[in-house]
Amino acid sequence: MEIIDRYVSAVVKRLPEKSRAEVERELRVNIQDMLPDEYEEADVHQVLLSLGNPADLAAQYYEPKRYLISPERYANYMYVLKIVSIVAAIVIPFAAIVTVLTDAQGDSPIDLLVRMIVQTIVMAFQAVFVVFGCVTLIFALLERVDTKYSQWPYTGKPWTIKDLEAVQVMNSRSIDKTEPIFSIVISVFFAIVICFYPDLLGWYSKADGEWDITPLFNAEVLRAYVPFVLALSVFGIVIAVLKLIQQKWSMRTAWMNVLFDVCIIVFICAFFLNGDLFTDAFIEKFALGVKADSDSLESIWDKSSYGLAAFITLSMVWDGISGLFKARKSLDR
Amino acid sequence: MAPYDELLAALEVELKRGTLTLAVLSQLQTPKYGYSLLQDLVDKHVDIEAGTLYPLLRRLEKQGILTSDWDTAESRPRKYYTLSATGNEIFKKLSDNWRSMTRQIEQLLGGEDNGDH
Repeated sequence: MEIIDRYVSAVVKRLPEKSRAEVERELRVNIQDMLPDEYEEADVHQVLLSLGNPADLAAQYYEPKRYLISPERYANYMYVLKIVSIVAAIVIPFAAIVTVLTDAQGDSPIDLLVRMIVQTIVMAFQAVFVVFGCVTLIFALLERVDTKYSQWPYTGKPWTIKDLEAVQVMNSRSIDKTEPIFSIVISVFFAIVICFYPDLLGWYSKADGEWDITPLFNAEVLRAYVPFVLALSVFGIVIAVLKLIQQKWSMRTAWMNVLFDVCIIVFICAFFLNGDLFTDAFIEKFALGVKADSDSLESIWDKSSYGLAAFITLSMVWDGISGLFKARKSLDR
Repeated sequence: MAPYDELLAALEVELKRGTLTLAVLSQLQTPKYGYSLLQDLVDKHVDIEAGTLYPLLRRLEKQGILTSDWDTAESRPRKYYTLSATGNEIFKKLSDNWRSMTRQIEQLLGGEDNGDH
């Protein structure tokens, strides 16, 4: 009877190919068994109705585990998705503005504004798919690849009493969420500008009603630094994500933070002490801007770049040490 | 009243989930095919539907608790299920568990009637 064929096919097409033939054969016999010897269409209807929704029936043939992201991981998944979305929401308007500005050729401000808004919407639309897709893919892979990490959060070991942490109070030992998010945004922003739009960093002057940019960096020299900038950004993002997940200073995070700070210091010193990196044109404009003559200029320039390097170094040292202290304090509790 | 009914239904499903497997295993000491097993269970007032039983049999077979055999001698070939050696052991263990569990629950539920206080 055709209606039985339809029902059976509606069930088995939802099953893995290798089990279809067997299930179909058995299901047909079962349906025949449930029918009286002399049956009519109405009897068939009754039997099929008693077997129920074909999709539900097919679902029951599966082992219970049929999901992309398990209920145990769902909360974490939503948390990461939220964080990544916040970062994207902050970075995208910047990226859109930069993109529009680099393409701008004497357009009116309103024109630019409209294009920035359109660009933001377009990029946000693309980002939704990328963010959602990547986070989902990573979690789905985690789900399948390692079962051990589903033990005590991310330690890969069974949970023990020692894993219990002191009750979280918002104090100096816990990590404020805004700080890691801020550093992710800064990392992404910095990496994008240095790697793709170094021309935008420069001395802005208005000549004949148009903005003229004197680039700060020597593009040739800067190119050598790009891999380091990218590596540092990725490193910074990884640490920020770790902080977001743990929400508390641990010794391991603190030492990684120290390592990161050291890398930054090394990079910053190498960066600022390289005289070839900065264009002469910019230094000239700078001299005009600060109204210095060429003699005193050199010392001003050197002082300010050394000063900046020293300032960043000191704040990195402070950051590393305070991280260690916070981690130590949370161990003592 | 709908939330009450839904809540009750959900809890009942949870309560019944494991017992169906036990009920099915108890009837498969001798080989049976799907529909005959269904009738046996319905005759014994077990509340089980065809759409639940057939997939359950297949899952238990995949887990190695049941073995199956197509009997093609008759005019209508049928797939007969019976407990495997492992299945038999598991069934015995589950039955013991069930008995001690029901005893405990019975004690808890009947506590006041028995005048334990």
